[in-house]
Amino acid sequence: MTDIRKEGTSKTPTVVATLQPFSLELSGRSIPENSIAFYQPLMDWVEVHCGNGEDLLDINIRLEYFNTSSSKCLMDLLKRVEAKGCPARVNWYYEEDDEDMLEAGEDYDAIIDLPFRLIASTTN
Amino acid sequence: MYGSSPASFDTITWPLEPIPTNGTIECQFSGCVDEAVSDVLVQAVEHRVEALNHAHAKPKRVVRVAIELLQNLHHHAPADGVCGFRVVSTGSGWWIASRNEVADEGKRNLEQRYAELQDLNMDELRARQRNVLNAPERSAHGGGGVGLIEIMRRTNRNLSLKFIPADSGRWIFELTAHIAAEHD
Repeated sequence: MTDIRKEGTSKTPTVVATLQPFSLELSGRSIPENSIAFYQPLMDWVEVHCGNGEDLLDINIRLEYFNTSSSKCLMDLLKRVEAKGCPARVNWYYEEDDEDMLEAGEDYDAIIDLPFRLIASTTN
Repeated sequence: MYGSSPASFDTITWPLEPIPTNGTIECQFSGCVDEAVSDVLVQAVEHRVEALNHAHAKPKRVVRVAIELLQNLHHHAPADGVCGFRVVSTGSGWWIASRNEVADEGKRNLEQRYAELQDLNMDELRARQRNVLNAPERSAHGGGGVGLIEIMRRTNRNLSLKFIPADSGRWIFELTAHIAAEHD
């Protein structure tokens, strides 16, 4: 298992997980019917590749919509990174007028013990 | 709040809850909600919300609440059960409503859960949502019970539940969420 690249759909996010650079990115929308199945490969990727060295994992999250089952999966994913003792930082992107996504980022930041940056972007 | 007379689902006219007098039905559906239907309805709501963006703030919040209500219909309504879904816009915001049939046990659970959450202010709701997010437990569909809290937060607690006696001895559960427009 090396890199993961999945094109986004109307229900699932674009996923890019690479070793060089060491990064994991989710963007778009995450409202799949079966969130657990969708996120399992990412959980496995983290399990295999995190904690094996000193490389910093950059986690970039740029989600527009996500359903509540995805929110649990995302939490599990970040907890897995945390549990692996992997050096990592989370960049949580939100549109500057989207206070719901800002609040969601703050909620993850409050729970997850990883460096967390909330980054506002201008609305298109 | 409870209705007093038996009701049927086999109508698209939604007679029990009239739309606000100054409202416009932006999207309405009656039928079985499966994954494909849910997908189409989310896109329809998104299209209408974007089209009216100039008059109503927080368009993404409307779509988010619609996503949660449709997910509830898909996951919790009987597989062959007819559901209702409606989105109405007015000058003061959006009403998003869903209907599905529930048994007595479902009604009791919903009432109990709603009563617990209704006592919480917005900060307490947020703290509850963080607790649920952080808990290892999951529901059958993976959410762990975050959905109702999320809807309450996104509507600023402007949410109403209604149970209407149905012919079958069960209940028609109607959930209506109101998202107020923000004006300068």
